Amino acid sequence: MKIIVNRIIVKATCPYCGCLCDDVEVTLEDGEIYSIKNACPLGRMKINSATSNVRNLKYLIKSGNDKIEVTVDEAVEETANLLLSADKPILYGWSNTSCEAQRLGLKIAKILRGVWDNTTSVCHGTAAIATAESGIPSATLGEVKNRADLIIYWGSNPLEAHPRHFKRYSYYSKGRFVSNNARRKMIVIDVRETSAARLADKFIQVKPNSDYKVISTLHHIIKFGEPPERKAAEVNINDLMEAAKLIKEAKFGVVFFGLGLTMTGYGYCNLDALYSLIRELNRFSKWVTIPMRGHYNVTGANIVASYMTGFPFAVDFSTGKPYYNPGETTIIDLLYHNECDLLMSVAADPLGTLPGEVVSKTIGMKIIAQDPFPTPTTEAADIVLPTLICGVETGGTAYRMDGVPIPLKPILKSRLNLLSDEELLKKILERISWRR
Amino acid sequence: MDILIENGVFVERIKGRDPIVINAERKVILPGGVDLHSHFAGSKVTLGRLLRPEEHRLRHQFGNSGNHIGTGWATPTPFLCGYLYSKLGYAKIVEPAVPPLKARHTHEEMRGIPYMDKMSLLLLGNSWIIMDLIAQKRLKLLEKYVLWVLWASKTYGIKLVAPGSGEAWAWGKSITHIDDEIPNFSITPKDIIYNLARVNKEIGLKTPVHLHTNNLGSPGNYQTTIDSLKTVENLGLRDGDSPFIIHLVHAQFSSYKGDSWKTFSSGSEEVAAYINSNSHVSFDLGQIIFSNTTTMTADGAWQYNLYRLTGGKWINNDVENETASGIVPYTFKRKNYVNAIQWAVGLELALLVKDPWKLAVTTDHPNGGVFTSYPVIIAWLMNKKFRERTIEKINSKAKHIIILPSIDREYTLFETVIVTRSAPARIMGVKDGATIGIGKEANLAIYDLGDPERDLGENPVKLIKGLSSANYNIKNGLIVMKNGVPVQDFNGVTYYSGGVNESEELTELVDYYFKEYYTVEKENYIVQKGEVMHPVNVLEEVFK
Amino acid sequence: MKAILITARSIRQGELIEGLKHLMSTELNFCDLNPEDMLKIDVKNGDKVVLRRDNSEIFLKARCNPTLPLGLVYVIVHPEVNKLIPYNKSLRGMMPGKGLEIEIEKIP
Ligand code: SF4
Ligand SMILES: [Zn+2]
Repeated sequence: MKIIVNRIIVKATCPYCGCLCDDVEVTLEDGEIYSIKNACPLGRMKINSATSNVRNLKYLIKSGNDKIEVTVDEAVEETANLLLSADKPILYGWSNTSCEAQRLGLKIAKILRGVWDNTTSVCHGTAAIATAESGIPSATLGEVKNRADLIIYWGSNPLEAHPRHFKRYSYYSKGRFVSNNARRKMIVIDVRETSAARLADKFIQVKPNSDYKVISTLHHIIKFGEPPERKAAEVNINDLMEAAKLIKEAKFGVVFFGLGLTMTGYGYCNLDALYSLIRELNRFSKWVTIPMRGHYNVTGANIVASYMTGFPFAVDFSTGKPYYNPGETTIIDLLYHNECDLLMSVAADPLGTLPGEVVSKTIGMKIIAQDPFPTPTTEAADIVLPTLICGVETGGTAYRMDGVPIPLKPILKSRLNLLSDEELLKKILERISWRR
Repeated sequence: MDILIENGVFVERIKGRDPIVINAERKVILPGGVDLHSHFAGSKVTLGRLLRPEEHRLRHQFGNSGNHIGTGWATPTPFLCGYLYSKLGYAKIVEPAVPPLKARHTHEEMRGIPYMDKMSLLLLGNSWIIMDLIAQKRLKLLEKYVLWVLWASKTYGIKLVAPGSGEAWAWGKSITHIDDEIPNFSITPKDIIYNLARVNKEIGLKTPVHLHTNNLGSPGNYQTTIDSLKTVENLGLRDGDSPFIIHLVHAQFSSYKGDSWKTFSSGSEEVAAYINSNSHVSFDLGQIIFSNTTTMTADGAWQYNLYRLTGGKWINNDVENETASGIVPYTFKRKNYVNAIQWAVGLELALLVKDPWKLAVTTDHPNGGVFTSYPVIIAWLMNKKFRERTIEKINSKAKHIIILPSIDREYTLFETVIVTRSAPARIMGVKDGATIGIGKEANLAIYDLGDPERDLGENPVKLIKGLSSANYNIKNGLIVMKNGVPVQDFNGVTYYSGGVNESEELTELVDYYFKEYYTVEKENYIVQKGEVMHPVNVLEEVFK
Repeated sequence: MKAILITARSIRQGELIEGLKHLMSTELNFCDLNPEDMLKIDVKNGDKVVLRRDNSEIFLKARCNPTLPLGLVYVIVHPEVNKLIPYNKSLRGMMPGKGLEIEIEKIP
């Protein structure tokens, strides 16, 4: 007996984390996933989720305590109804979808005089604010791969959140001027000994919420060669002195920072202090810093919003013009103060990720949730809009954590008869424009 | 006299019925303007937006018009950019600094710019592949690679920004002399300038190599500038519309004497003299406007210096294996000695170079100022008294050492048409797009500049007002703008060059760099035609 | 006992986040503590603890983690944990997800 299988290999861009690995290879057998090469467990899971049964399959509209299934056109019509009758809708999410969808979202928000915010506001929003304060000395990841002899991870653990970061771009990568990791040194700075910390040449433990002080102390040591008189008690000074020595010896250094800096203590001041330190270090040698962005296209959301409106997130169109003021136009502030009467979530799960005190305020609000997967938000929604998984079942453009644009590819044809985020939003935009 | 347009071109007789008639009596009718150097789209423009939320509040547009969004002074959003250019009477614009790795980003923004035809220039002055090929003397392969990378990024021409210095800046160093060796590459900036100018000629690109000189912005750099231009003297002229072998971008920033900020002075006479006595050089002004702006360039080392000078905000963003870049906000002040001289240098160059066909008016938007200031530059060029009024207000020490007051030349209206339309179109190799002639692309701007019987330069206020807002902008035969109000949606074409050369040697070369040094796959580096707004390749697509 | 709450991600959490969120409350229902702290509140591996802040509380199982510094509670982030996170006006839109002061106790 002869078995004929129809196998092809397709190249994929992993739509999971900010590493946006574009070397993933998926082998398809008769259109189904047979194997996945080069992806980490997270990427593998995401690509495999195309075949999972845990998906949003139907367009649903709430009716009493139940949700009833409707056609796509009815769902679009009802979505347009709710959006148009809202006083100040907020359109939130956008980090797990394509730039094409993000652009449409901004146009919808503009027409509705609503707010467009993305998940940046609760992850690296403070870094964007600090960039506007003082600017960021940065580079693409290839610069690190080819040149960096000292790599610092601050408040981020790539082994858990960006599993291929080491191998592809940093500590374990091979580059033109640094051919292997014996020639690189790594420092990890964190509040606890993470898995990455165990691999580091030097691990520096800091007390929670003290990063600002630690950065300032390090800055002082580098500038004056000795610690300031009033020493920070939150860190071992000898550790910092040793780190300063390694830092000064480096030819090309990089600081990768994560939520451990953006989400703690003084928020954007941490980043302001970090950028200031990096500027200082450029007097001695070359130093850059790169944010460890979480979702695969959160960087794209910031880029698209910046060129469309001038602002990277939290764009409020209620006066007809884009207005931006994090702390006022950001999702948690708007929801907490009951400023919005409708929440439309696209490719995100605000109810599952925002602070409890904020989530409790959404009770009674109209909610529209567009997502391939069930989440606490789709659960609570008045309208559920299922979509194809961007980057697996449909394509588009995304931006890596360092701002490099990379095409997303449809890996396989979905067994589900659904639209992409982009197609669905286009219908909604058309419907709204027409009704206006 | 009637000008007839049908199907997007000028015609002798109209065949269709009921044509639209515009009465342009006593108005000035010009071909659509061409801006050959303006940073309006792409990665660093967006980083500039990110750096300066305060700047976007200076200009808002389209508050109530549907889904169009317009903000930004130095970095207007794409829709606003197209709108402002169209209002100014322009038809074609060139984004002059695209890092190949981020070309997709530039196209993404350019797709959103309505009304304009677009071109872009590719940053190749610090490319590893190019520097390696020059060092290895594989010059035939270099030609093939340049064609390939232009094709891959869907860009139009070659841009060199402080060649070699970007690579040095990647280590935090800089190169101050064009005969200095580039770290790790055993070649010099001069080698890059010479070889790429030669390749450019060989492969028949439509525009010369555009050069941002080494030492840009620094006192005494005029000598580097002249040395760089001399490097390519013996290459002869190019075939085709644009004979020049090299285009000196924003020459103002490269024409300084002195050896410190204290002794800083104008080098315009020397640079203008060189350009007057040689036929292989074209240039654009890079005129500064006294105002606040956001400077952005691939010259990372210079931006770091500027940041150290201002002590303000600074973004650096180097792109692997290709280029550096930096962004710094800056205010050009009348009372600042250096700024006042910079202002004079731009105008001196425009007035001292005799042949208007060699130059184009630019501000190096947004580096010297924003492009909406072009009418003011025209007024300065056309009216000596108007210049004097500005000179009165500048730094008094500068006032006494500049030569501008001694220059009597005033541009005629005809000459201003050359430096804003015909010359830049010719330099870019798109002459037909800026010519009123039968069969040519119908791009027109109609202005009300006052009584055409009188000298239009006489009343600079009226001139500036008139030029700032065209009564009509007609693009490819369609009225797209009327008195500053968009009439209909229209997207222009995107010109690009380059082609795929079926060569194993080339594939091997490119594959090697992607495997070893880049962090993306080759297939994702290539911008597909579908990602570009109305792509038009001006060269053959495939070479054998 | 008063402690500082640190939330962070893990590979498993990352696998569950898209599509398998319903498994989070059972798979990720633990928190890490230093052994000395465990002694202090008298819990063993697997014992139930309550984490409290203001009026919100969540229930998790204690897990021993000797690499953790004293006074730190480390929880893998999931929707349940967010119930403890407050709104803070002064953070310019950010949520205080790391470094939050909480109360932790054994459930008898
Ligand atoms: S590291 Fe990130 S982008 Fe790369 S395969 Fe893993 S999840 Fe995907
Ligand atoms: Zn420029």
